[in-house]
Amino acid sequence: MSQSLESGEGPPPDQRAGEYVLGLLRGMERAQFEAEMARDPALARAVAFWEDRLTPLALAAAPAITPPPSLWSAIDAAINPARPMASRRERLAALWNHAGLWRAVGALAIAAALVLVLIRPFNRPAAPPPSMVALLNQGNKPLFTVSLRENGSAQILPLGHVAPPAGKVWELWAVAKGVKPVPIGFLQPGLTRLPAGDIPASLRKPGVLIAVTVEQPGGSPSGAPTMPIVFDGPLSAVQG
Amino acid sequence: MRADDFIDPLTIVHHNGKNTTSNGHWGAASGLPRAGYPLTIMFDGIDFSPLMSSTLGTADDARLRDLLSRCAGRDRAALRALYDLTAPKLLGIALRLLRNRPQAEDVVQEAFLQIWRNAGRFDTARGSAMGWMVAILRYRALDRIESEKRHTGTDELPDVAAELPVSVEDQSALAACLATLPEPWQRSINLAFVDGYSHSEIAELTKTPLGTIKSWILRGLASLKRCLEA
Repeated sequence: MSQSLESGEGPPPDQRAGEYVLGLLRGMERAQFEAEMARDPALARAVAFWEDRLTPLALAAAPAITPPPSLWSAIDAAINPARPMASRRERLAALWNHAGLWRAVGALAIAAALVLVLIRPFNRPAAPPPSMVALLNQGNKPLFTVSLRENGSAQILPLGHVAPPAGKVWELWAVAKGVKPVPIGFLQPGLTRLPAGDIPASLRKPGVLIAVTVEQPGGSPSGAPTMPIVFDGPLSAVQG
Repeated sequence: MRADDFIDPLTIVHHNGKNTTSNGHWGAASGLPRAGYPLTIMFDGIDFSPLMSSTLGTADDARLRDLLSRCAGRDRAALRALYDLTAPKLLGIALRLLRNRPQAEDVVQEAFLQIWRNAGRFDTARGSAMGWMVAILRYRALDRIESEKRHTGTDELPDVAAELPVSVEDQSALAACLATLPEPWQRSINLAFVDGYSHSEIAELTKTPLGTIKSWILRGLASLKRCLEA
């Protein structure tokens, strides 16, 4: 991952837009950039500039290949509401492949997460305040807040719309100096709750790093991280 | 599966490269987990006219723009015409990125469905119609690269990169500007944009430290931007 460039301010927006269009922002970095682009018209313009200007390179570097007739049939079936699809299986496949569906599911999930976040404080008796908190940052961008209660349970909330790469999970680690990282659970794109006991008491200390890596579903089989940290932050005690 | 569509003369070899630069905080994390993936090169069906210049000229792009606006009005014949004009090139781009024919076809299908849905949002102010379509295709291909982790564990440059022309049309501003960059910068940009490699894969392929690759690409982009706007 690109820790080395993320200290300080990072590359200027035009260059980040260029990296995005080149396809160099992956996973979290890409999701985060796309969220930023949706809010920032100047960044969207920078992306459009690169998309348009780099097109000749894409065209020059690839041959033209005649697609099989089945390719058009599949597209035609998907856009033609009048014509029943050949089979239930095909219809399901088309629905499954339908990016709009996934965007809708994603949007609903975000809306649901927001509702949870916004409504919870009002209709619940005040939860005990956290004893320790951490802000999980990628570079200098905060992505999640971690609140740790006295009893060891934890709650992790996203600050924006981020998700692990398709087919992968985020695994959470507690990292103390000189000790092997300890797996403490999985981070969900929405709200994550870790029951008391998931984080060993010896690691519920200020300065212990809460870190996230991208792993295969089920987590790292060895119990040790197999990938670099994508984002992290140290625990700090809350002055009570 | 269409096994007949493939020949795979190159198989990317498994190897345990040592990253010379540190990856995140894990001092011990020696690069990414690797798997050997066959690199497939497709000859069958390739039309070797290297450029579909008919869709690059402004007059022809006007035709694509017209078809897109008809697509926005739900004219399916317009999508078919658009498909006939551009699908071969889009499939070529997807295949170059994914090196897997069934996946490349899937991605072209996804791209055309997205083009159909979003045709009304195409804005001529942002650039050419072909550029917009190529961008859509490339993001769908990148999704696939990310979900399949296609590009792991390569330690040689695919020969396809040498066989197909990577130089751009002579008259394009991009070609002129790319030519002003030092060769290693050009190559890094090509490996990312054309072949879909990540920073660390490019570092590995070119046996160059990751930080150097990142800096070459950023500096290359900065120079390109200045040159393209000059």
